[in-house]
Amino acid sequence: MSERNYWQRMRSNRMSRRSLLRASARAGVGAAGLALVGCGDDDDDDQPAAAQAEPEQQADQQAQAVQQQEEQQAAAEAQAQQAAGGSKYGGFVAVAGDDGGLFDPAVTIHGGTDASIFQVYDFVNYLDEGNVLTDAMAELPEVIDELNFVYNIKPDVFWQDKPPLNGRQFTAEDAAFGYTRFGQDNPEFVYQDRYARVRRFEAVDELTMHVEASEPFSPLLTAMAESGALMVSRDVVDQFGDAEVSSNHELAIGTGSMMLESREPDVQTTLVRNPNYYRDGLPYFDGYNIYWLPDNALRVAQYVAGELDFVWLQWYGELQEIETVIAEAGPDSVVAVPNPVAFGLATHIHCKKEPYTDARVRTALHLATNRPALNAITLGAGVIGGPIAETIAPYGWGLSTLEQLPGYRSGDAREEDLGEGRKLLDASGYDPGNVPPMEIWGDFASDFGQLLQQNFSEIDFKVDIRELNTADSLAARQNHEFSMITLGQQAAADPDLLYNDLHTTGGQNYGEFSDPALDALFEEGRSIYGVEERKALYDEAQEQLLEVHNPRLWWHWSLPTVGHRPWLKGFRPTPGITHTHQVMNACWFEGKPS
Amino acid sequence: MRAYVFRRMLLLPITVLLLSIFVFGLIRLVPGSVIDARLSAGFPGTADADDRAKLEAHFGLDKPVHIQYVNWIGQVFSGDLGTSWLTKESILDNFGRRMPVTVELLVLTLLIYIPLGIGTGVWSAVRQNRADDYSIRFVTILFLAIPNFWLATLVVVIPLVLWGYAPPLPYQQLWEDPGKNLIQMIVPAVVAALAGAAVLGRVARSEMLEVLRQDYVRTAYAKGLAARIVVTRHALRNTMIPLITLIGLVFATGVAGSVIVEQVFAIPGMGRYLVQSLLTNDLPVVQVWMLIFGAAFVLVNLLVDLSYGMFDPRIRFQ
Repeated sequence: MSERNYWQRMRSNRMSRRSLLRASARAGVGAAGLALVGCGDDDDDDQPAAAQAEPEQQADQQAQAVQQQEEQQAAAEAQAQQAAGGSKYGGFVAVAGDDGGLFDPAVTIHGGTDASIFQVYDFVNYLDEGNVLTDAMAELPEVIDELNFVYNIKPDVFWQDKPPLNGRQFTAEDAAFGYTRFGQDNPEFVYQDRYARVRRFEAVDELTMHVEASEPFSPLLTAMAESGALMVSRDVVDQFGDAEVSSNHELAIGTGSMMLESREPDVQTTLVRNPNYYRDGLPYFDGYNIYWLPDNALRVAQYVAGELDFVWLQWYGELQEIETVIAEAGPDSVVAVPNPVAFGLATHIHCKKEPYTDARVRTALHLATNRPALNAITLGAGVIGGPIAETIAPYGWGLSTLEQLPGYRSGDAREEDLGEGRKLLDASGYDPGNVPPMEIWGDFASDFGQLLQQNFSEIDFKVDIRELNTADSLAARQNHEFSMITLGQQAAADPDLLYNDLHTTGGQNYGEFSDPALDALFEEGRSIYGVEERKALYDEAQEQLLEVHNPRLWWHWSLPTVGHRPWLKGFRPTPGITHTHQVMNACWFEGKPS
Repeated sequence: MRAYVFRRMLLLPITVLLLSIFVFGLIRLVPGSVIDARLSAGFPGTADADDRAKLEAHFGLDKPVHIQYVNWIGQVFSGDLGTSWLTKESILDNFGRRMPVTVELLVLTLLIYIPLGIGTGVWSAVRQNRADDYSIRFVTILFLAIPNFWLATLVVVIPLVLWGYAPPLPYQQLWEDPGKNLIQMIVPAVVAALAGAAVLGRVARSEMLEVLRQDYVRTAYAKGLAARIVVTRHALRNTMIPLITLIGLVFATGVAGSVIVEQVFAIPGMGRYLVQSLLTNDLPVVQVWMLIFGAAFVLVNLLVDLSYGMFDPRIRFQ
């Protein structure tokens, strides 16, 4: 089978693959939710103009679909709770984390965020564990046109009952202030670029916020719901100032399910239930005892010793480690829940350095890369991935799609891929004596470097390894001083991450990849709101990347594991910490030993 | 002696100033920057050169390095240690909260380190080439070879595997619950002390062996003094000069060890603060941390030098 024939077949099969995705519940709800905030027509990819002409009607239909979905979900949850003996109120959850010490969601950066704020503050909308835009303090936005959106704030949302807010109502003015604050021109406010295309957030009346964009930018609604888009009040900011909001935990007063009761830095934070939380009946727990334990071995030890109810196992959780925990704590003491996340590893190829300037060389390496073997020996707890993580539903491709593609296939098909790789290498005429060593993140693991080397040798491509420590690896990538380096992939919630990674001007285009056709696709992706249209566009982009360009070798998205006690009920896999807290709101204890 | 102390005290600010230049320059050689971290936190792909320039200006990183240094050191010498880039908290407040914890750990470490190191060294020398000497030598070499981060992890894991035991949560301050605090601090202190005690033991043994062969020791024995008196009153005092030097050095190794031990055992002290700050490129904290402990180390060395006179009356400070 030639590569050309394969891709032709794949294109002709696009509709069936899309149908398959549409059939999945997550993608279905995602399509409904995102189409609601956009103006796409799920059933007619060819008529975007018409779709934009009737946004309100579509929004109503989609709202009904979402409501129906929510009712079904609520019924399923109720049934599950009934089966488990009914939901139980009460109890403090003991969890472990690493103290951030920064309490302002608008200023937070790289690990500084205090995990407690995700429970204390809340979202206007948020992305649920299926990456679906979901209503929170406001209903899903009404799309007036591609530049104007209206958010209706729910009338029963109140700030926590602490001065200076004293339990007053959360209003559209609060939401407008919160978002405007994120976008202010102050270098401390790290998310300002997310809102650079917003002309104004304004309160139309007490419960209605109007958002006016300066240009079409479809990732905006995702950004407004992404991790970190938590609402801080004007009252506190005006009275105490931004610096105090950042550093003083007593000023962390939000609308979230938990109130921050006390904090001893680097030791413990206690959260207690917010009795005025706007979601009826939630949360079930009375509170949280969060112990700040920076070392993973100590967290696991405390879990095994019975001090913790819930523990994030190591981010790059080795399966062996999880098995050890289960063995030590006893199989009846751990429920291990793998959490696929939009964060992983990829091999960045420098497209301006020989011999990688030739796309045929890069594609040959892509075809030679043995993804299952790499994931197995390197981390053991990852999933094979493509350019967009599967968790970024419905845009990411899952294993069932990927394993049919060249470079991802196994068995005889892999042999074909290797043969094709050799042909491409021969055709490129590269100089085997002029291959610079590839850089490997030695502090993390060097096994995958050796395996990559072995993979490449299967197509007679010889490359040496240069091990770098973490700091040097990051510096090499940041300064574009590498030939081929394996490092982390940025977390994201929107397929627009490809713009950042691979657009000629992309902020994390470390390998200096540039292709005008793909640039145009990435730019177009920012102006399209319809989910199906966007999906088709990003499918096209991913196809081109994997078929022709291969500026990175995508092979791993992480699968960290949560361990929790069997008496903690209702937990579901979540793709990130924000989602974890949302899910935990609806968890409860059942039969916890006293 | 007063003149000597005066001269050393005069040299202290110069040493600290040189140290500050070294620390400031060294930190800036570390790859990675707070600017990159902040830019990557924004929406992908939209940060540009202007954003970078704004951030650099905001943190004062747009100025030449020597100007940055002068601004910083001027601030420090005026008593303002600055605020964390990450949390906006006052560095002075943080130090005030964490320093007692680390000092407690250091004191406990010393209380274990000195008797253990000197005791095993002396015992080993007195019992040279016997079974207990061989055992002690084996154990000291073993602890010299084991890195304390690994030992710390073992200390966490082994009781867990054997008895399902882990230190009680949460950490208790000494003045809140001394008993629980001691339970939580004793194991980290032992871990921090062991490697140093092994070095001290080795040095104490070799020094003691040399002293025990001196004529005055033979004379003491010949006078009929008990072995205990000979060893503790006559021999031990004459081995103390190198041991005091080593004990002074333990301050440095203890501080360095606290970085790892506090992290592994979740002790909210200065070491953990340094790790957090390093991981987040929080340069103001790292700079002040290194400067303060560097200056403290210089002071401790001065005290060690002055203490030589106590153990050897022949030493004169000129």
